[in-house]
Amino acid sequence: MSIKVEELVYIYHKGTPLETVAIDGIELEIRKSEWLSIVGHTGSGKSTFAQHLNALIFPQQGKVMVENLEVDPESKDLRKIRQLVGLVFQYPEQQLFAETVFEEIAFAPRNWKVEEDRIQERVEEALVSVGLDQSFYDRNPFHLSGGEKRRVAIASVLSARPSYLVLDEPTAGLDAPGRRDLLGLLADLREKGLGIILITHDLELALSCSERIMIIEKGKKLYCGTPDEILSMLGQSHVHGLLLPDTAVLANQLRAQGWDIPLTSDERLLANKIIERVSL
Amino acid sequence: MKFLNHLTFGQYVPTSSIIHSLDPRAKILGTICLLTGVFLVEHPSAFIIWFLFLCSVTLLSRLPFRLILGSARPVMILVLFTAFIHVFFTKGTPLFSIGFITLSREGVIMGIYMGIRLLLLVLFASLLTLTTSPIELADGLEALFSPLKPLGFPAHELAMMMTIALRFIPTLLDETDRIMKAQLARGADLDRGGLLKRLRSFIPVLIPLFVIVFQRADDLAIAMESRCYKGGTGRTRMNPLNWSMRDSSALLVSLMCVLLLSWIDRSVW
Repeated sequence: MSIKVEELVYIYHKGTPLETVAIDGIELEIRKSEWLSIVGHTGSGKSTFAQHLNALIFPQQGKVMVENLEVDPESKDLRKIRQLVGLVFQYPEQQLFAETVFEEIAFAPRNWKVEEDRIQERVEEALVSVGLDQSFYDRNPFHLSGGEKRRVAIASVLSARPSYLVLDEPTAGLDAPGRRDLLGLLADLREKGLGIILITHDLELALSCSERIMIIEKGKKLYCGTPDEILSMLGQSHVHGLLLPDTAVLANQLRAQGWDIPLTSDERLLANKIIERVSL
Repeated sequence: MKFLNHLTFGQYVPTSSIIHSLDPRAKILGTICLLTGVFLVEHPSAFIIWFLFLCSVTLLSRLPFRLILGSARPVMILVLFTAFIHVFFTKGTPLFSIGFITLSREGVIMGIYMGIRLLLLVLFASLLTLTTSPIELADGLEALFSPLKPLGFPAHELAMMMTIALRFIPTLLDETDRIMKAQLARGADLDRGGLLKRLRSFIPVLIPLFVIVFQRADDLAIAMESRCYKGGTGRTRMNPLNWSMRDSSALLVSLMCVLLLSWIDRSVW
């Protein structure tokens, strides 16, 4: 089971003076229950790409297959695709509308016609998986703190029980602890078998948590590989505008001095290796 | 696909054409002339000439025809409705009648003319907004209304309100698009069911939109106050309006067209 993207092309405002190519021939296979990060600058086409995955945008050329369903405007399975692939937009707290947290999270399962006596179970499951509890049921989502709002918004997508979760810059505007907590929650979801597709401009963030990373630039796939492969690629050559994380720069410098340590972006691992080496 | 892509009505498209670089005052006055002109003629040939005029201005503005014609789409229902009303509610020689509805010769002609006039009206107006940025448009209106300032007419305030409103149309469309997508991703059904059901299904779009609008208004007010904005008195401009010979001649051409065509319409045809 996987999401397959073949030769995808998408152009905004096609045929007008404002024409811009957002996606230019991307090819990718996303396996179920892996953590893939898509890294690129603002305007690189990463958000447009994400919206193809759950049939909010349709391919102009090429093909997107979600499991065995094709993303196509004529398809009768659009709702099924949208249920399989949950999409959390940037600043998802801006889509909150209900009077209570319960109603907010129950919105998705109700839309997918889940039986009324099963909805409570869905809401509870979703709320717990974002680290909140039943005491939130009757609270007004507009009165929650920023971090809580975001968790409720993510729960409101999880309550549809998707197989894949696409998140567009989920850590934007969160402070360091909020960011760490959120990544922890995503790692837990990943453990439970949910495929995570994280879209971010932050290479360091992607390196720290993903199993695979795709770097896109101007709508083209620049590179796709494991964090280690990405690090060694960036350590050897300069890719426009993508900087190695500070930790990896340090590791790289030491390696250039002949130290036998891995090229890594993990501070603790690097510190341990240095201590080992120094205490020899 | 953007869900609201078809709502390009009057959105500014920058190209470097003669029409784009005209003084906004000339364009506003010229458009008013042409709109009046459209209602002054009655002969079919006059309408054809107006369409040719529209085409030549479009050519000069270097915009694709598709874009101009597309801008009429949102108001097509209104145009057809008006034409329809005129067809059935104009008295005259009856063509045929079913029950109490009578179709008259004059009615049909009147309906067609009214439809064409409205269409021309919309096309000329959208040509103005397609070639003039909202800021220029508001500046032009402010300059045109400023003689009324001593009488207490809030020319600057109105222009500022218009600028802000126009400025936020595309932003709010983008926001609406984003919220609609977010709710679709949560399984919302926005385009199925009866009218009442559809209206209800828009609540998840409207409430977040209102929240965002109020937030933006608040932010904007703070941003303006923190830059010491306090109305129009003593404000200078980054791009002062500059009336040149070209503007005078453009205005003259449209005025002559209107006068000539309505004269020919009256006395020759």
